[in-house]
Amino acid sequence: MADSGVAAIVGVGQTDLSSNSGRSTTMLLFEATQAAIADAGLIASAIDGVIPYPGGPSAEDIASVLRLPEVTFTATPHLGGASSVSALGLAKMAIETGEATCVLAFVARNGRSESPIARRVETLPGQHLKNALEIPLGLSTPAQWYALMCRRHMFEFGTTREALGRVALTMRENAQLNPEAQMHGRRLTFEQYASSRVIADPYLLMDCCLESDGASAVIVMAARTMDDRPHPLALLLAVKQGHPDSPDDLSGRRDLFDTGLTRAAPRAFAAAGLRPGEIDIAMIYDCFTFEVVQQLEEAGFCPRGEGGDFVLEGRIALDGGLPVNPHGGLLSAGHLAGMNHVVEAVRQLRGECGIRQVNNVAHVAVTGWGGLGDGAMAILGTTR
Amino acid sequence: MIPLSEVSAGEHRDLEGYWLGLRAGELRAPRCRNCGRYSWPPRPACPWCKSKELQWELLPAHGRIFTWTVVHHTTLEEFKELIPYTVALIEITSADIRVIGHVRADPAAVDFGQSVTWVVDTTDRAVPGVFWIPDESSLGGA
Repeated sequence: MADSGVAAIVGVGQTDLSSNSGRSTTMLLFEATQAAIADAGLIASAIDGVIPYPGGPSAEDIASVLRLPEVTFTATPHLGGASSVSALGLAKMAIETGEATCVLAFVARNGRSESPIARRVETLPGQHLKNALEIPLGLSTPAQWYALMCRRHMFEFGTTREALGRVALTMRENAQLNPEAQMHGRRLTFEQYASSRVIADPYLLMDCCLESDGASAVIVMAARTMDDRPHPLALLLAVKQGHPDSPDDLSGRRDLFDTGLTRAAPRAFAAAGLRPGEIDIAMIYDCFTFEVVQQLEEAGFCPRGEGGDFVLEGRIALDGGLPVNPHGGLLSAGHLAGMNHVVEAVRQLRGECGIRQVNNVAHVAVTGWGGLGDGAMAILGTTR
Repeated sequence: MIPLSEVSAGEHRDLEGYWLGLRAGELRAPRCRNCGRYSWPPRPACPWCKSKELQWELLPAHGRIFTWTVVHHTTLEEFKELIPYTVALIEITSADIRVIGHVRADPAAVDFGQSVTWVVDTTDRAVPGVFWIPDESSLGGA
């Protein structure tokens, strides 16, 4: 399909992923942006919209080093890890309303060497509640928050350790096909997974995603302005967000599994005119293994409670019915807050992924998961 | 516990009754004078009927474990010597709310539906200042 009015990702760029980049976050951003500009066949001065990820380099930082002459639109979504996908929604809106013609969205951080998760989460909504009602009780990290949800899911639906392990192993297997993945060359057995140290039971170390230094950048323009580009375009068919009840706090949420994605996904599928069964690859925000199981359910790829079996049947494997995170995900490729998932989605749509390329990719869904359950989904199509 | 000078400052103003309750040795939650419902966590107004007329009431002694995690790795200095420790979502059925609670118990003995009782330690340096202990012969359905 080719709807010339729709916004599309026309360029992507990413630095190396590491545990210690040795560079400033603005340098990382500069490198990823230059790569995205070159990938799109543009010059820097074309950029007139900038959407920074919360808590990193600013629009001003990149506008200064690139000497952007005409920035007409800047905005930052605040949905924690769902902000990368939500950024695509802001970019799409800016393009399709004419507020900007060429929008840069990015994540750039030294997430391992300088700003680990324990510090990053302090900027999330509801921090005053955590300061008063959780941290004084010993609860302070995403692993602990989501372990509460995971254990309840195990109780209500019989989700197993084996299912969580299968998620971790699938991501690790995919990473073996991605030379850019931080866990490339480091295989994982179930025994190694199951014997990794406990972080917040039921979460083991190998249930938790990586922490990474690096940057991802994407450039969004109207598809009609890009007819002569070398790459097939990645059309932003739909981008929607959603928020659970009591979005900044778990205790006030009646149904722990009714999260932002539960509401965002139907909105996205309706807007794209597609059904979950028509998605060829799912890029799932895999901050922890269980969050893959849960998001598969809440996105509508399987009924609630059946995510564990869906995983154990091998459906999310590269040769399964719904390959998930061919690059290896946050669990084994690296953690750039899911903007690296967007980059992989575009590369898969273009057919650029070499030995991990999925055949005949027409539609990719990208999920975002943030804070205590904010959600977002982008559905990408192609002009190929 | 936060200093008294901060109890009525900033965003803590909406939780003032919680802090004052702990200092008095009580676990309290906001209850709406208009619709009668409890709410948690504390918000500036009743999320159900939007009334700002909230009063802080003593919570019942018992709750039930809804779900929990056993923390083996913490970045909180004052909790490092407590590892492994249990933090749970605790259902207080009669108030129709759930709260986060630190459970002082052998992690292997914690279970879904288990009845627990809150304890407030008013000692200045208590970590944590409020926690829950399992009731005897308390296993029930979740």
